[in-house]
Amino acid sequence: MEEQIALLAANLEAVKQSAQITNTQFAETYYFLSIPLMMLIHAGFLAYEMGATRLKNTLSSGIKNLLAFAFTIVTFYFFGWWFYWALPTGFTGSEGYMAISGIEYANSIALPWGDSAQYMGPNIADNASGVFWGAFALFAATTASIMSGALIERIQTVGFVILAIILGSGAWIIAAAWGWHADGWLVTEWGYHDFGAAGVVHAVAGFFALGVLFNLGPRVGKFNEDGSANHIAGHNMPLTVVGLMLIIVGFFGFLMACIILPGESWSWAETGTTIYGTRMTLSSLAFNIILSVSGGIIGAWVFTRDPFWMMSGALAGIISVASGLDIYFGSQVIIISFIAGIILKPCADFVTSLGIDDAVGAVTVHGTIGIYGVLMMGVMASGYPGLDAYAPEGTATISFVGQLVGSVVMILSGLVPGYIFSWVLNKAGMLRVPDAVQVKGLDVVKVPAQAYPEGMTSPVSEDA
Amino acid sequence: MFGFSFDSWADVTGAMYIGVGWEGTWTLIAVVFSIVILALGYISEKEHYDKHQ
Repeated sequence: MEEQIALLAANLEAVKQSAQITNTQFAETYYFLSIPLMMLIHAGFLAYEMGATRLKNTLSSGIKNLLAFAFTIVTFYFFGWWFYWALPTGFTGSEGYMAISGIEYANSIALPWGDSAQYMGPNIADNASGVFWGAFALFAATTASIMSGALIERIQTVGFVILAIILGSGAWIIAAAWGWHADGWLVTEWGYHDFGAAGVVHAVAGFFALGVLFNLGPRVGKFNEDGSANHIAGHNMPLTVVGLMLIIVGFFGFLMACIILPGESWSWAETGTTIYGTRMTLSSLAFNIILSVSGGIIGAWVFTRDPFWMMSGALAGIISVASGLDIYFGSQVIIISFIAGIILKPCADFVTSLGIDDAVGAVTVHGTIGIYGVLMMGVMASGYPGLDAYAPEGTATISFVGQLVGSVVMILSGLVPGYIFSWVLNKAGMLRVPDAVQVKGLDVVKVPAQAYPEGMTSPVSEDA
Repeated sequence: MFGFSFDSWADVTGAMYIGVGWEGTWTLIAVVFSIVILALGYISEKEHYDKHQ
């Protein structure tokens, strides 16, 4: 009998180990597959931005977009990842309640040199660091791509790349440490809740772009002497609209990567949770992403009847409910995203009326609607717990005031560095493409290739 | 600079990349590469703009 019990116990232990291996492999695969899905966001931004560009600037817009992605990823490896773990409690870099933050902790896991380098490369005992880093690196690249569209056709490539690095590996990830980390001071002290990053990704990137636009100025020909604006149409609306749809597809990867899976040493609970440790499921995403896309499209259709704005409305729909995708009821999602679609175009027109040339409406879609989404979360979810597992006593609950404070922080986290660094670049002559080159076209001046060598009018490159 | 942290695959228990102990050097080279490429990119871009001014 004892032998049988011992055998049974041994078998049980073997089954447990096997189940753990399966769970670990599943978790690693889950996050790994979110990365190529998020790459679709960049395929989308590439198509969207190139289509929204005039024919003479098509390839230079593509180059700018590709380099934003590449340099953001590389610098996120060098130092961006470190910011996320070092600064949740603020610039003091002290350790937070969960003991997964602070400069000392970041130095031990997030630098590609010294002892922490073992977590920044192949390691047979570490199935988590690479896939988490990869997902966050793609979030980072997304912020740079968001900014990219607003600045097309008149920003210098290298100047833009420097701004992309500052945004993608600096500004947004510091804001994420504060508001998208269980030790973040916005979370513990103000109950800030932003599951799908309406604030920490979209609003920061949108307002960073606005800060740059103040110094960059409009494209040649955008505004008349009396201040009225001219519409500058891109050369390929279908490409732009399909690009926007690809971004929507990529958002499924973005948002699934925001879930902390159960069963691992780094898990919060026995169920899936948000990044704050609050319970959630993939099913909630299935309901709410699709409904918000639809609500945004319908809302934008009401006033615009324009496929560009309808697909921008789809994006705005998701962003408007991103903060609460984990807990909104479907019908609430329809209403909030519907309103986002409706206000989208008037908000973009308002930005233009201020003399700001946001070529694709990025400030509005990501900045304004991102803040709208963060604040709606405060209206709808006041009183909900801000943190769950292991929350310290006295942790703030979700509130409108907390979301308002978070909104101000997100606006400033984008606007201030965007303005300051673009001002410096402008003074250094590294920001704006000379007007004569803008008139001639950027591709013909600096790209050794042609966008459409056959069948369409496209200036021949002088640099081939 | 190109060394491993193990002698046989059976001994692998942790980091398994080439250059264990030299990560900082490799990273420094990669950082310098990035900065130089960006600087060369700027020079090239400026030349193209100046040519068409």
